[in-house]
Amino acid sequence: MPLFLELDYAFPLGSKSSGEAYTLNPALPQKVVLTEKISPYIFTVSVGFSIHLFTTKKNNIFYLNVAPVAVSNQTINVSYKNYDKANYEVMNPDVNSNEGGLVMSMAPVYYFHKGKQDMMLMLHLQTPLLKGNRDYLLSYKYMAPMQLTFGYNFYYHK
Amino acid sequence: MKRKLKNLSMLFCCLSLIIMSCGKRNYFPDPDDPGLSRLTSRGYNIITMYINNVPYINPYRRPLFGGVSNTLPAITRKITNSDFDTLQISWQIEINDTSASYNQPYHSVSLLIPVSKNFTSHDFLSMNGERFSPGANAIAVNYPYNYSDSLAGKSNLYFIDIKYNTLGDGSRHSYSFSGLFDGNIGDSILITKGRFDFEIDADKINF
Repeated sequence: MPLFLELDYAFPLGSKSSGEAYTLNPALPQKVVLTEKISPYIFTVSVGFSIHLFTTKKNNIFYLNVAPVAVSNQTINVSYKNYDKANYEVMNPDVNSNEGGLVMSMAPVYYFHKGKQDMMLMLHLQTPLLKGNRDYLLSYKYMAPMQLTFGYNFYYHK
Repeated sequence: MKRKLKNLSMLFCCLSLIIMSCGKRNYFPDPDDPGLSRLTSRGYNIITMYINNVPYINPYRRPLFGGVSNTLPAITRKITNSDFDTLQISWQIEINDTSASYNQPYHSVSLLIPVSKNFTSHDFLSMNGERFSPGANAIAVNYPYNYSDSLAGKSNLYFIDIKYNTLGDGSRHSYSFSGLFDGNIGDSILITKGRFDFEIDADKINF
């Protein structure tokens, strides 16, 4: 059963939300709504094995890559647009986080045999960080990335 | 027999340590204001502020049984001889720095809000979202060596959120309130960036 080591650094699509900020300053509106930007990054190291499921008559091969134990670090940066920090306070603000932990992942992989090169299609699925709830409630949760890859396999012959 | 007693005492010590270490203090550092907790409205029972640029927080209790908890404020209506009574919200404070000396310069802070003689809990709830006019309320600090000796000045106060909650099976109720405050007592004591987030049992309020 072939083993593999996989390193992934992902830039998932960020998201936008909103936050409410308040002030005591009588010269300013007592409440404003701010646009919140959430920018995530994920780095994962996986060690796993490939299970051969079947081979078609045309030599197309279907594998299932399984990484039962992987280590992932999830960094999330939060910013509020036009936030006047001197006068306003955001209620229940989201903050930056940098958390690591164990994850599990699996990926069905289909190799298309075509001439000297094999094309492949892979759908990589990963669990969120396997850890308890945070002490402080944030509007975002641990990420469970899903990645669809299409590519070529290049072979090196001595 | 002696050995059994020794084992029992060790077991008791271990259990005590486990019980005493349960629970966690609520404090969520604000990245923009060092030493202060974030402005929240989740009943975390925390209040932080700067007094002359030094961060202060309500202390936490570590009882033998029951884990760690932040101290709660006392919220009472004080009857006065004037046309108005006073809604007083008082809480103990300490410097939010574990390396600070045991001698604290201040013992507690009170927000003093003039209210009508027939002030009720309904009136308190109606303060939800109210930002009071500058200087409409007072603020007082008490010293550790004489609790009754206080200095009072002007304050700004904003009740961002006040709620009445029904808990569990409906037999218990609480008030949660959060907001912002600041103030000054003459030129010598400047209170800035104050924020609070409390949830207290309804039966602990005397109005």
